[in-house]
Amino acid sequence: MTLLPSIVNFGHPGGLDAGSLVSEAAKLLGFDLKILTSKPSELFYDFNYGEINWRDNLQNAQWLINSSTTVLEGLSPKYAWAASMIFGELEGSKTVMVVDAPEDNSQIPEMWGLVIEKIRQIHILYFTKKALKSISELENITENKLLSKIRINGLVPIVCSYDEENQVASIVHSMGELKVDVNKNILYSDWLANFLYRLPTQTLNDDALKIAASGADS
Amino acid sequence: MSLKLGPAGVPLSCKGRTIVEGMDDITVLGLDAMEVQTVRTVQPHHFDQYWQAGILSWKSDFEMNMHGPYYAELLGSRRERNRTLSKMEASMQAGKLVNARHITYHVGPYGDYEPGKKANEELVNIFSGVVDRVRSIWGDEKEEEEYSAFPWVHEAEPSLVGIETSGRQELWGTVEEVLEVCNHVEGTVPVLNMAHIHARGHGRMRTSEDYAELFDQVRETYGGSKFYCHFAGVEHRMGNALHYTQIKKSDLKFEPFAEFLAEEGDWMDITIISDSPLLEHDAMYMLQHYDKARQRLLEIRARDERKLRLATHNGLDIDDEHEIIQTENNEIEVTEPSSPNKKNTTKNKTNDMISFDENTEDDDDIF
Repeated sequence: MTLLPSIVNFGHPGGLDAGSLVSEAAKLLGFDLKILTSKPSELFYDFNYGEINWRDNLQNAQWLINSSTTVLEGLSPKYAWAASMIFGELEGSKTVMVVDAPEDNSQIPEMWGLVIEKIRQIHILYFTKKALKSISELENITENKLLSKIRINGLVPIVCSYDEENQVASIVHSMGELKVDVNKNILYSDWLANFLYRLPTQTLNDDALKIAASGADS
Repeated sequence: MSLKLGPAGVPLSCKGRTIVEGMDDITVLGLDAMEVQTVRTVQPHHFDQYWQAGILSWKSDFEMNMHGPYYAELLGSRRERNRTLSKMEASMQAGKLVNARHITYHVGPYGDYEPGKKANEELVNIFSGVVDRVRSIWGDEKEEEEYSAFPWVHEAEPSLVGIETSGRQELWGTVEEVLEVCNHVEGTVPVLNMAHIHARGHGRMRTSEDYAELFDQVRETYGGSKFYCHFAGVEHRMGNALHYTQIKKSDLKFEPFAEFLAEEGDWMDITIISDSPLLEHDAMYMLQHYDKARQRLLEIRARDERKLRLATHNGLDIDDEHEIIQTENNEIEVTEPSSPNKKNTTKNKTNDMISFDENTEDDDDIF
């Protein structure tokens, strides 16, 4: 690989949201990472998001990484989160939405509803294990079925999750679905960063996805 | 002709995120319809917004519509069907509040049914029940006083129940299936999702003639002149929709549809909802192309009329002049590079009429 793709991450300045963790893990792999957040002098929940030049920042960025929990942080983060995906779509960046469960479970329906509203702008929808469990309970369907349902109904190119305990990745994509034994004790953020790193941009088939998901040669 | 265009949801560029704020923005953009997304369960705190939106739509010419639940399994097990129906109930209630003219539903997978008569019969029964339920929700005389501030509940026609075409082979919803069910259930209307029809038909919607054929099919099978459509770009493979894209990035172009509407759509009363990832941007893109197509058509007609007038003035036989115009038009056809998919050469003339700034070299990747 001669040219490393770049990532733009919009998230909390503390960098503890799931998307920020994935972005940091990706940076360690050599990705060019740009973090967009509030200024140190601002409070994240009402920062001036109008000052972000999305167009400039997203130009040539291959991935835009967002967390679902960002929408619960306040109106400014919510609007900025939505704006980032619009500009991502316009500039040709692919949006990776990392769906994590908020600390307060009662906020899950609101959070998930907002993600669903944006489903057409999402290219990779990743669920943490906790989020997958909560949302499948909310939707009253099994975890496995949830991934494929979202894929079919939302036409998201890739819907995936990684089970850290059993070291198994579940991926549903445009042409099918697969489970991959990763056989490594890694965090979900490392798995997803690796997956993005190895994901081919031109040929999406089971073999290519298997290689990307297994983290071979990493 | 009545054409209403709008986005599927609150515009992306809308600073506020409520439905009423979205309606304001849509109006400012020169659009006049919206489809409220109740893709997940309708939350009770949304209901205030819905009433306000209903009042605004009742007092203006703004058309409100509603989309039903995100997950649908109407042909699934009893449990799955009931779960879907309970979510649909919430959207029916919300549809009344916003004065929705159409409430669109998906059917979902075929489940244990084979595509064909049995599945369609089952859906006829289900949708008959849905239409009855919508009618019972609207215009209950006992509630007249309670809803006096919301006159559409008693004065307007109840929402039409829209049944949407699907974009994947494993999901119920070919054009034929949708038309058959709609034809048997009064109060339903086919929702023609062009991206789905294009994908499922392996890229069939390419020329204005393809649209003419589709609408002829609908008119002959279902009748009527009212149509409700969705339009977005789509990536597809092997008869399955893979991903929605902005229109410019798709092989499903809006120009042929605009051309068909401008040329042959006089009899139609049509609503087109943009459900592309660039919601209102693509709705405006559609409106611009429709205006361009109409403008070009008017110019051509005016030019032909002027020639005829001149011919009459100069003492030429009008029939001869008609022949000259026809010959000129034929010459245009001969010099035009024709697309291999064009079914009718008479369309070539009109294809030439519209000039679009398309970037056809967009080498989009797998997403």
